[in-house]
Amino acid sequence: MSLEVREHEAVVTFSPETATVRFSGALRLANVKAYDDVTKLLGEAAAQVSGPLTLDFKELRFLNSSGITALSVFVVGARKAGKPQLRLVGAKVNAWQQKSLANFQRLWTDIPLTIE
Amino acid sequence: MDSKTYGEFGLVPEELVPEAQLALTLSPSELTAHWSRCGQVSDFVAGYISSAYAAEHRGEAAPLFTAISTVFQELIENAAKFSRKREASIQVRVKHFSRVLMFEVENVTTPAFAERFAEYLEEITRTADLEAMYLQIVEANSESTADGLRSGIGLLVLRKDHEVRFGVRFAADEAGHPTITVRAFQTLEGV
Repeated sequence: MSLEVREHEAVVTFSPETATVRFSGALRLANVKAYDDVTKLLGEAAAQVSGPLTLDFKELRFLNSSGITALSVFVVGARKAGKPQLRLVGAKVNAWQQKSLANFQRLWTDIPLTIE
Repeated sequence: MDSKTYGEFGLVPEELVPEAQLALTLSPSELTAHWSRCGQVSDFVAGYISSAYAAEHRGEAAPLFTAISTVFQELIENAAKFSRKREASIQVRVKHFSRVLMFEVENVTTPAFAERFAEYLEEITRTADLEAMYLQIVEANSESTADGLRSGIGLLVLRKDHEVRFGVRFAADEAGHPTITVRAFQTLEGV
């Protein structure tokens, strides 16, 4: 089942066909709690996939530190559960992604990160 | 209250004349009531500075624009969240020196937050391993209940991932309320 969360400046969608959660826009919510809908979508996406889950950030221009924390907690949860295997995709044009997405890799070293 | 400074507060001499500068007065209560204003003002500052550069550095998708906006966003978020909500204002000064930007964000806060922030600064400036500190905070967050989660990594991420240099001054306003002035120095890459 496809899933979608719309925030003020951002859209997060899950496509079961491609097992991909796609982030677009600017995620600059007020605090970690404000990311509950996004983390709920991630949890439901993780429950639906049988193989790897791709997190595609190519269209995401901003992610603030509250968002990094919320996503980090999801990554740590997946690592502890041993599933789903995660794949991260970013874009060179979003300068912050090369370093900040690598933070998720440090939390779970098995995660492949591709910057396109 | 005597003022106390941490880090590289005086990294750029006061008398150095910037190529461009702007000053803003913001209300913390208006920012927290309409949170997207933090993003709007961050994008405004990024647009103002990046307009001095060639076309490929301008516009919301340009790496220069996003780099500036990302750094300013974290500073203004902190000031909005941890200000005294009444009568206080947030004073912002931005100075553009060639390839270095200085953001100065001053806000009036509570004694409890000033104390907590000073402890955080001690830790962030003392640690030799920012990556280890980041992992420690995130792993601790993953053990917390959802309602108790606080990011606590804003300045750490700016320093670790964006190579931003910091100085902080603690002082007091005329009424004796603690004030925090954060200066962040960002080197503009690729311009």
